[in-house]
Amino acid sequence: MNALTTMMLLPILGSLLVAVIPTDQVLRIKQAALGTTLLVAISGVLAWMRFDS
Amino acid sequence: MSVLLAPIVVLAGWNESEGGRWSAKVFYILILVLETMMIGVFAATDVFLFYVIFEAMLIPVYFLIGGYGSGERAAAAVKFLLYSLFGGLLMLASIIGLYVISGRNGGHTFDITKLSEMHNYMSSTTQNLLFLGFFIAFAIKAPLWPLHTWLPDAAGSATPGTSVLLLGVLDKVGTFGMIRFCLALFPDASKTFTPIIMTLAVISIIYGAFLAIGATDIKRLIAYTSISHFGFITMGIFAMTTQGHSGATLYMFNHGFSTAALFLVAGWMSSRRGSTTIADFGGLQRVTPVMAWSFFIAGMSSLALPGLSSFVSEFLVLVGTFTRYPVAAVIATFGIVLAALYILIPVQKALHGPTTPGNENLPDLNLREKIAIAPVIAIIVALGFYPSPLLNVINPASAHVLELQGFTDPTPSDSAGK
Repeated sequence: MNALTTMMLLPILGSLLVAVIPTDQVLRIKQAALGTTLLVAISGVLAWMRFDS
Repeated sequence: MSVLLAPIVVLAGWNESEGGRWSAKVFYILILVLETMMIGVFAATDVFLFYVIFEAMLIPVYFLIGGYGSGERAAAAVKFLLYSLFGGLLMLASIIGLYVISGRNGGHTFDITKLSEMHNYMSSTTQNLLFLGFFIAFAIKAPLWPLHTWLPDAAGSATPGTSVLLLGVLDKVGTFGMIRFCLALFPDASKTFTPIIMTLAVISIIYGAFLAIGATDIKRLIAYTSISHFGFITMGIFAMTTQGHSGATLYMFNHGFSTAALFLVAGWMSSRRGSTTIADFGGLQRVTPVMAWSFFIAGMSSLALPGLSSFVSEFLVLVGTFTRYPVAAVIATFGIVLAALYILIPVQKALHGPTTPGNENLPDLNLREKIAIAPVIAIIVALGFYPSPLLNVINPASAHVLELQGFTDPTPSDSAGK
């Protein structure tokens, strides 16, 4: 799977993860969202470093 | 930029979902779905896929503004949606036109690479009409004068985090689309419409700056400054020079971060003070020094102070434009003078002078907020001194795009025009 596909799929998986966390566990929801976006950011930086213009 | 701004927005807007129409769960699902679309829209190599994501992006943004914003949020969300849908409809008509033309010339396709050869089979009238369908959609998104009126309402009503994504990333789809589609698919029409587009860009620069000078609301002020900045980006794109092109592309990145910093700090200022009116702030430098310095650096970047990121891109845009359109470049330079006014006036009012009653006990940024703003400020300063890591990627791509479409840099001439 290439970097772009991974970067596109990660937030969708993160949103599914957030969806299954009970609504009253707000802190967990925020942590899951932050963790997902951080993972995507790391993937993005790695993809940029490998980019050959 | 999309992937870097998303965690910053989540961290900075930790409590933004509170007070919304729906739960925090819905808020973060919308943010994550939007992030997927933000990546998809820039990665699409198929014009129909691009269109689908371009339109689908409106849905999470509509709910983020309408469900979690403030003030006239419902009206702002509807206005944003209507403007964007109108632009999307025109683009869809152009896409169908392209699809039909591709069917007559080698087989139906939505592939951008194959479609970029179709301009050889179009009459100039057809090419101009199809170009306009794309360009108007992108000019609404960017936004370019006179199609900008949805932006101040949307950015003023949205939460600061949503505004960051809206102005920092989503609006860049417009300027990105101008490069990816308008220039690539319709090079002749691009040349035909360049004088008109340059005029609109220059008006955006000056008009946006005057609106910002007159703004009394800090969030609307940032939105108005963006109209001016998008004018610079559009000018750089349609200057059709490698410097202008590289400058415009770098500007997209730099504007994302300087606007993000401005919106985040403005959001923290207004949530502490309970007001977005600039006159309600005053003397923040003494009371909340970290927040004030963050706003100051972001503001200086927005006015393109040398040593900060926006300077490099604005300089490249102006130099690149001057070589082909000197009059436009000279008029646009007044935008820099006006930028000093629209940034320094609120900086003076909000940060300096005596502390306005009600501001004496405002808390400074907490650890979470400092962690969120630190990378943005670091990028603004680092790229101001050392833009090479980005320019090394952007320059060859800009040269390649212009070369593919048959645009060449003007030959330097002496003062006698030889």
